[in-house]
Amino acid sequence: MGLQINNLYKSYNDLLLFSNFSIDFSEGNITCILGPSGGGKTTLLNIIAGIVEPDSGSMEGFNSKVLSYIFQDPRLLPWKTVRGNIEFVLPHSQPYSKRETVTNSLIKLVELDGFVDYYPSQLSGGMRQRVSIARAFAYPSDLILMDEPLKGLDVKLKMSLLRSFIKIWQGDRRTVIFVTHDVDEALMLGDNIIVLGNLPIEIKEKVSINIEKHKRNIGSDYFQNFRDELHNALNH
Amino acid sequence: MKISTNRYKLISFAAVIILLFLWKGLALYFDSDFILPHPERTLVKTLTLFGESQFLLIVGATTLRGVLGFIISLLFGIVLGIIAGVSCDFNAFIKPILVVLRSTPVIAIILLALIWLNASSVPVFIAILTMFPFICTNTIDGIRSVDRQLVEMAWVYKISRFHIAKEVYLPAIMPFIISGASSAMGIGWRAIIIGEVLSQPRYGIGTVMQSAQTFLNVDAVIAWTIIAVLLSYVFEQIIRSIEKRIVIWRD
Repeated sequence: MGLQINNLYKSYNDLLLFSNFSIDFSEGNITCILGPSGGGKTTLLNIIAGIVEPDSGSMEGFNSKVLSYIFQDPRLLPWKTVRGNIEFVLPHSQPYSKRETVTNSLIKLVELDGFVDYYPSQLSGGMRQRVSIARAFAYPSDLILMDEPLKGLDVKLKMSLLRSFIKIWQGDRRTVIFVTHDVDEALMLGDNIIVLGNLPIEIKEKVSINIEKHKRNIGSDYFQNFRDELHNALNH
Repeated sequence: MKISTNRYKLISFAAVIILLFLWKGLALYFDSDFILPHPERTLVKTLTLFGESQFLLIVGATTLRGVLGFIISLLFGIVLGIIAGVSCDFNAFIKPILVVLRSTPVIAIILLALIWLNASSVPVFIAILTMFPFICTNTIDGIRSVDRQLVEMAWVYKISRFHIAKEVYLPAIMPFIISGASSAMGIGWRAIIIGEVLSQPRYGIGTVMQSAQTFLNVDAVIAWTIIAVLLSYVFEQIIRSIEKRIVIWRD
């Protein structure tokens, strides 16, 4: 049970990213991985996704999992509309009517109803990332990987995207691994928050928050304690 | 926006008018139909060409050669371009061939083709050799420009190779192929007509231009030139309209 990475080793050229690194993720939850920018977090996701081969190490539970990936850039096909981009990833084994229903319901969930026939070049950065989120949930996956998808967006937009994300996730609780360097994002989303340190990467702190995400008030004293704890772990 | 487009159209129109006046002035100066006929007389001559019994045959033959050469170049250009875009080895192999083809003077190819081939296929051969390098080079550039991140995304979502080729690669290289096709056409028509002038197939714009020149029918030479320009223009417009239909996603 559960997803585990054990004794992972990975280096790029002479840079040792992971040395005997182990981590596990609980299923049906959102695990946030917090760490400094450029610290190998993306590499960890890419190893999970099979894009990058580890030098050595074992992975358990991932083989049977189908996964979606929400990249830092939305990575939409410029020649396909909002609808086309979502339908693109849906397996052709599904009947078209099913693909259409799934696409329509997700477009609604990410509040892009009026934009189904727009091309990415006609959308704002936030809207493009909404399409990318819709695509990830439309795809019949068990595991969603997210690599700082909110980086570069302004705070207001971030919050509204996070709220959309939480709303969709409440109705469809897949396992999520969310990589970020922003403590507040982690506090809003994470069931478990894991803080990673500098290279070679090690786990510095692990906290669990047992409050439903839509009921969280991250401005409260309760969350301030977590925030201090996480900041402390990040800075030492 | 609307005003400035109209403004530019007006300026372009003025350029044509000035050119015509210059022509008229020179015609008045030389005062000889054997050197430079008057523009209005040439225009009438051009219009009477449309009524000639063999007009369709002549224009049809040249068009057929152009289209045939174009389709063959397109086919080979795209297929070899894709292979070269994917395989560095094949790219290294085809690169010098493309460079040689592009820098060889058209007339040298024609002279050799005249020795090797029959009159009717010389222009087609010329068309292929001049158009192919443009399409091939652009296809290679197109494949090279495909966003690796999009391919990676498609791979993560387990999209089949066939669909990655069809929905990621093909649309990405389409604008490159179209712009290659457009440059190829521009050069191609000129090459075909030179080929016809020298190889003298039974029907062809180049053939009639050559005989008109022999008899010093300068008005006919210019009139057929105008037909050739129109032919080239029509095909350019066809390519533009295809481009507009295919690349609507660009803002």
